[in-house]
Amino acid sequence: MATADSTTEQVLTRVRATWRRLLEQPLVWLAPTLVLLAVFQLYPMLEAVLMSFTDESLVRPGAEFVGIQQYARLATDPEFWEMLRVTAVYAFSSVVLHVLLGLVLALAIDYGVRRGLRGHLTTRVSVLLAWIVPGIIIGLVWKVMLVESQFGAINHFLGLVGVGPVPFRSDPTLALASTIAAGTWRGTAFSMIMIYGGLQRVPTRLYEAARVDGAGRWHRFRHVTLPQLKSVLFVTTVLVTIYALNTFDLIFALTGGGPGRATQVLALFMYQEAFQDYALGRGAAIAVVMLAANLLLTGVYLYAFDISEEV
Amino acid sequence: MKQSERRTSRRTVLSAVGAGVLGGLAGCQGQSGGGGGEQISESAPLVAHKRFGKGDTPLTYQTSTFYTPIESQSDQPAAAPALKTQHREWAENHPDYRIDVKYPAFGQWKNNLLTSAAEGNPPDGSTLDSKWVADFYQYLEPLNDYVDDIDDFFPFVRETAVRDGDLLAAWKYTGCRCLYYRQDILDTYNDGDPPTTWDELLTVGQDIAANEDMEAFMIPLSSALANLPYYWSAGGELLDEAGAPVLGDEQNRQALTSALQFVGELVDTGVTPQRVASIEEIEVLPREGRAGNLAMFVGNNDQIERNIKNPIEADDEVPDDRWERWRVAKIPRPADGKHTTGVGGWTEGTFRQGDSDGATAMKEFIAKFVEPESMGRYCEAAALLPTRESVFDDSDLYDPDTPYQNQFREFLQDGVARPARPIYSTIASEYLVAIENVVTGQSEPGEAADTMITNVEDEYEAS
Repeated sequence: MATADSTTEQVLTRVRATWRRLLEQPLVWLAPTLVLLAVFQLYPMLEAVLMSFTDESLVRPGAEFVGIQQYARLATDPEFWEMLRVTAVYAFSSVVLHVLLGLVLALAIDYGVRRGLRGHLTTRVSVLLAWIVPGIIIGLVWKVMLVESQFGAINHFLGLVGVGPVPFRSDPTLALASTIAAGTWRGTAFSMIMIYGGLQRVPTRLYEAARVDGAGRWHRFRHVTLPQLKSVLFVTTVLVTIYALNTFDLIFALTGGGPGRATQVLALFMYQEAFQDYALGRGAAIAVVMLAANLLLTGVYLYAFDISEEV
Repeated sequence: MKQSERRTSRRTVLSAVGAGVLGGLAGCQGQSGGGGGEQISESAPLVAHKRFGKGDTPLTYQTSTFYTPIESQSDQPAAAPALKTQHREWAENHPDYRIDVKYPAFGQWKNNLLTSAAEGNPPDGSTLDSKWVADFYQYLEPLNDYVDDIDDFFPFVRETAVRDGDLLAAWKYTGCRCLYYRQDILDTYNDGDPPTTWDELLTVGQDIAANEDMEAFMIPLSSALANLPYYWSAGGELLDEAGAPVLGDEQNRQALTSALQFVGELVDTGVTPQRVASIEEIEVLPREGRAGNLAMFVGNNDQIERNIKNPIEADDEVPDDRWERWRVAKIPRPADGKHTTGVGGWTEGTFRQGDSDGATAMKEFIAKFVEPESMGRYCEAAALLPTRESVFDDSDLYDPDTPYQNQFREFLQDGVARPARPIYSTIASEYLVAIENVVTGQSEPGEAADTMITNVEDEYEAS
């Protein structure tokens, strides 16, 4: 009997030791996630990179290795550089507007909550509604609102005050501005939620200490709020940049890249190459360029925000 | 205690919802899994929305809800009985077979079909837009042994659907583009005659724009086929006999520049508003016309019925005969050019290989769409134009009430179909981009033409 007890004890001890060792090995715990990432993220990414070195097409069987031909074609295509410019304008404007407006909204809601003002919940829900609606729907809604005749809501109201009709979608500059406005209207909610979450983490005692030191509102914001929000602003900026660079659905629905190619961003170009011209190799090359741009900008942000200690 | 009850209640609700969702998904799975060997009750109709015939052997087929034979499910209910008759005839002749029908979402239909064909797993048959046919040449099966009198089709059908002597698609109806104009407005500004040349259109259009509170003329910039007549009528050709683009040839480059110049002049002179660059739906132009905002536009032949006559007759506040002030004419051409119009339409094709009984049944199903009786019945009911000349000639087969059918038949004589080559899709999109660039002042006509030529040639070389 005593022997049986001792054996059970030994087994339990061994199980506990194994359990402890497992707990000390993060790789074991990360393994399921890593496997899923490898299957659903890394493998498709690798496939896309490999495809970008071929001339694979959906309307032609087989594919040949063509080296860097797809990239060389992009580099020598003046329209590609024009699309890169449009994408950069769209992404830069979006990032600035998303983060700034998100910050303003988050501060306003935070102020309302701290003061116990009514309506902050309604405001949060209203802003979030724009975010949860799919981009293609947002694009269609804005398209209907921006119709350039009496049938368009905005031009109808502008007409009542003797303005317009404004060529929101047929003027190249205004069309790009319209896509930025629609994207900002949709995406600001995400920045607001992220930054609002960051604001909740700022210790109240820091503001009290700043007040004791005689800091006014601006100085409290500049020297307490902003430094405390740095890591949140970094994450928000990176995510908004990725979102803006990859925006497809909203622009597809709102302008289709037109007039001409005035609002043709890289994501839309990639879609057209891969699924309208069926040139999968060329589409993959554009996707790889977009991936490189995303990684490069993330690196730039990492450097600019200097949050290495916090990451 | 209260909290505990509330927790239990929430858990119960969540469990019930979860079970409901799982049950629903299982139900869907069960429905979609009902494939071969399914028993169909004797009381079930011979032709239903998702099934034609009642045989045990299934064949697969994709189409649009425009072409369902069931009126209540159809986007084109007037034509559903004609299709029902046609499918019933096929089902009665093929009692061992039934066709399981899918209605894919339009947006991804072509891409999904192309992907499944490339993977060797296409449906047995499918409806195809005539402009898709070239992309499916290598997958489509010949119909020569099942379709009679191929020479009876209009020439543009044979040029597109026949490849190396094989009829690969059954072109079941066609349509053409034309000039719609308000007769009462042109009575005032051009002695009642529609403009026939570009110069005349510019002159009349400027008069209308200056004196009427409406737009003079609009073009649908979402459709290359509606705008290619400017290029064709200026003497331009898109491809040579080998299928290579010839836009860069001097005569064609000149024609392209002239066409773009004309469209640019329409906007510069105020005849056409710049906002046409933002209009993507073809229904917008007749809607502006009905609202009294537009005197002339280029549209499809079926729009007289669908977008002008029917909506006006349905509007209680407008006299029923108001649509009659809208007339049709040929699309204006250059003074020294010829009239042309772009023709389109939809086809049917089969991917089922071999001569098995199943392949034969599917090919006979597809061929039935272009039998003169079926074609006449369907086109008459749907207010569409037949692709067989003999159907036009036989009033027993085709005698529609739709207005202006004789004029449309006359316009078809000038019909030019999209070239049946994959490069056409690039030509079409580049042509629209070139027009938009000119209309919105982003490019001069010559510059836009050169960019288009370069892009098309690059794409052709790359593909």
